[in-house]
Amino acid sequence: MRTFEIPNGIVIFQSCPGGQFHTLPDSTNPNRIFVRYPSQVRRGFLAPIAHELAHVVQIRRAGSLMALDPVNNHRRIELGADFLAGLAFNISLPQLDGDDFETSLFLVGSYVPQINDHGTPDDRTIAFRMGRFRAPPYSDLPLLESLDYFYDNHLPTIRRQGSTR
Amino acid sequence: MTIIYPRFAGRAAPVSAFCAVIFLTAGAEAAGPEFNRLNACADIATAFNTLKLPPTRCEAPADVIGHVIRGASDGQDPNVCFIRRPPTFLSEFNCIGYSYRQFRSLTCYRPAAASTLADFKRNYTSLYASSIAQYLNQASKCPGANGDTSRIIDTTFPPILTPAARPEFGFIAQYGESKPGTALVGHGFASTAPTVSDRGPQAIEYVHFATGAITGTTARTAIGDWSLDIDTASDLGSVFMRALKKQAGLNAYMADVSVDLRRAPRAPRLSKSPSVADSLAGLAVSIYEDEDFEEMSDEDFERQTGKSKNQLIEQVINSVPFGAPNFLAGRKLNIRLLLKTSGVPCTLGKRGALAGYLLHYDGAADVQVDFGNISFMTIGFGSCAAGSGRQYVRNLSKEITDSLLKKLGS
Repeated sequence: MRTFEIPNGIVIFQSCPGGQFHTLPDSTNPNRIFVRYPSQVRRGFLAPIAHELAHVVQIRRAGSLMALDPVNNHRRIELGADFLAGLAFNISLPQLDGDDFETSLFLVGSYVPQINDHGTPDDRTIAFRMGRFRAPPYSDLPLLESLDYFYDNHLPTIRRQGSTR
Repeated sequence: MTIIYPRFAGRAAPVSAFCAVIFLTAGAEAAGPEFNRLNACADIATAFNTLKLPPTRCEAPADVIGHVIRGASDGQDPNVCFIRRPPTFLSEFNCIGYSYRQFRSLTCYRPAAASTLADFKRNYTSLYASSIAQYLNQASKCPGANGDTSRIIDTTFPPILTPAARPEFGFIAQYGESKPGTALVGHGFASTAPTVSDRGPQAIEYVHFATGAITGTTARTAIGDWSLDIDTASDLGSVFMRALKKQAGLNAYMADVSVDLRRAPRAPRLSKSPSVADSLAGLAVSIYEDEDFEEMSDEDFERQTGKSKNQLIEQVINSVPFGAPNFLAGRKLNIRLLLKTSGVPCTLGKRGALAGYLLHYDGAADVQVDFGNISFMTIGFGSCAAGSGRQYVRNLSKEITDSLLKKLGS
């Protein structure tokens, strides 16, 4: 939470039997965001939780989920979250090698284009590793500036690569 | 899908089916590809030991893929070796060795069915993701591996294969005590170029071992609001030179400078119009002209080179290997040529001549910091490719570089 500069009290974690990892604003409180996770998961939850917390960063950055315009920006949002998850691994979880993310079955991409897809597995890997290795200029930028730089400069190139296959 | 949309003003909340992450059963043993190379620890150790030995006996390429790869280097690259006897565990593969300074690689391939690749992609989520996770996990535990495994993307696809194929999917394990590692093993599948698939397989499976690194020739330089990558032996330059030599068969010496124009991360936003690359090209032309180079009109250009500008640009573009990332990505490549045929000793008696080639393109419209590239190649031909001619080429190239950087910094 500290890595993502999320103040205490903003995120409410909820365990849901048979559920899935997801993030949604609390419709009754604009300052609260739910991060839900499947209660049966015993291990391998770090990567998907980092990805969900990245969505919290994105929602807060945009001001609301509506402002993110998820219907039209789905892949941008998901790859941005992968990138931020990579940054979290770099900043706070350097002892881990990132395979938690890249092999997580909760973060599987698809090679088949579909509505609301998260990008191809290769796109997700590129986005995550850009954050994970935090090469210049990211090494010199704080979190939110890094996200903006990613959106403005690297996301378009990832999408171009993906579109060729 | 990881964001569930709440109800907004009466709009129904779409709930993605992606949430239903399926716990999978491995399906690789069906019609799909087999993943058994990155976790073959003993075989990998053998391959790395092979790379430590002096180059093995080489032979002529044995198949269409080898011929395409050989053809891409004009059959002249002494660092490429089509290996007569691949390691036993790769006996069904054709292998190519490559060595350059401390870099060594062994790249082996065999035909694969295009349907195998399609099946993998179509059923990745439901059938393969789980076995891939397991595969990478096993690969990361081989002795000597540094624990970092990942997917092969355009930039980690074996360069030796790029004339013949382009990556579809694959996986990579790094070796060494550091991160990034000092060696790697890759295993993947690629679709083949039309020059291959017309006469051979539509797809290949490949295994790639590499140790050592090829030292880059790019230096990042901060000038004012710019973060520039200055390359003194650029890919574009070598592609261009190859195209030129192929066409003219001339003895030549080239000083090549390529500058990637990128704004520094926190620099004020700058309009992409007028084009910065255009403006820098104008400055470079004026310096050449101060040295009595004369810019060729389109007609003179065609007369001198035997091709129109558009034909030469097309040749440059076509010289980019099939599987290499497309650096132009739809942008227009501009080319200008200046010639100097007198005024320096090496041009006396028409024994030599000098040329300045300028290539430039604008930044990608959707990449904020990208302002494109300017490359200039100062070339000495004939007598100007040696002795004082070389020195002149180097000095002029440096003068132009300094002037461009000064302009960007002002």
